[in-house]
Amino acid sequence: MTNNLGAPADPDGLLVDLHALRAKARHDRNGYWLPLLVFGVAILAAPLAYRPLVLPIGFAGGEVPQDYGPQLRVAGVLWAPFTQYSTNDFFDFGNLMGIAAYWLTLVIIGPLLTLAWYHWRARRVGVAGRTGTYLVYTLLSLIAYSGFYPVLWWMFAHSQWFGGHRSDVALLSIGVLAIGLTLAAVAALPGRRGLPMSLPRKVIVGVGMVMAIAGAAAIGFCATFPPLHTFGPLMIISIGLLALAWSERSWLCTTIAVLFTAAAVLANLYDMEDVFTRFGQSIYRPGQLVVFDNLLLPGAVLVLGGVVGWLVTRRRPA
Amino acid sequence: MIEPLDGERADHPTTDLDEVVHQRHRLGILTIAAETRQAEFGYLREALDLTAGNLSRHITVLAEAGLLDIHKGYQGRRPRTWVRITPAGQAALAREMATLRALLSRHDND
Repeated sequence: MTNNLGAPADPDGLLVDLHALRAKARHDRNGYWLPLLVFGVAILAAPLAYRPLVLPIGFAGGEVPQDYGPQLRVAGVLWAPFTQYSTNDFFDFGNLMGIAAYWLTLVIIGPLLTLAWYHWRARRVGVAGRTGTYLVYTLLSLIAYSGFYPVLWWMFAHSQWFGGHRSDVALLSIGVLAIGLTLAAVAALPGRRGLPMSLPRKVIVGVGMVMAIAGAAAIGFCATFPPLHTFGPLMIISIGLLALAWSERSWLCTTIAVLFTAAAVLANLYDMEDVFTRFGQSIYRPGQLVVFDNLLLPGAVLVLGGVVGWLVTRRRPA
Repeated sequence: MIEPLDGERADHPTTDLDEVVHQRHRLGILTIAAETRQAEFGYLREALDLTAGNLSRHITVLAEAGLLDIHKGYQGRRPRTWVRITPAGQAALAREMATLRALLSRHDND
């Protein structure tokens, strides 16, 4: 890179040169496009993991034979921990544990591949980004979604209000997510001018992110009840991508992560297939196509974001 | 700290300049290191357009002042040196940038 750091200059010139150096380091460090692309393609490919239910010959009605995986009894409530990573469309799909394995692999292996990618890239380019934040928040989100589930189930089973006002719980969850993210963003933004973040600001960011994680986990929980579809893993991915965007200090990555979060909330709390039926598609759509209808928007946001991010990172900073 | 000249007011922004940091290339090293978790020697040399000897001297000065940590390792058989900014380094860089901005503001107002 050509720079003027060797030549004498006024403070203005020096600040301009340092600003250019900071932009170059930030640009060279950014590698978010590949995780966006990988998660996007994996989300769009997810319907392939949903196999139609084939009833055994001679099935005479009654309980549909399904493999719900291991089941635990928590405070008197029967809980099948893997079904929250699967689907609640028990009558459409016959491989619940296969679906759970797909999503669990994505939310566990995806972040590990992301870290491996950043590690490889740092050795190749010569600058390493701060990926610890991404790992911590993804892990917290995974734990929250897995751990909150029996608590919320118990509340749902034992509280009349909670059980009778599912849409209120969903709205409350969206509110907690939005307030948490706003709090974290407002506290984090002033620290972006090269100044180390003060402890109170770090605490506010942490509190905001914990609220966001709780809200995201609760949205995932609400989506496990029909007629909604179970796409809680999208919320885990969205929290991870928001943390990645913050580590990357990239407005483009932040925009994509926010858009993806909105699309993930929609996929969880709204029947996206309704949009397709309104445009003339048949209401009697195969289950796999309904899954695709719901995953199309979040998957497309990430794939398009990954492609745009790749094009931007190929350009040298001005 | 740079001592104020006779007649220079003690509150002039230049009195806040840090001799260790207030050097263009060292500021460049700290700026890149602050923007990353760690930066490699070869990357810094290219970005700052410095010879290996010059860069090494600047990094040694900053490390001895506690503003940078140096990590040596290997990538395959090739030795690699990585530098990481310390909290003291981040604070020193932030002070220096604030001083430069204050100088600029004073210069504009004169």
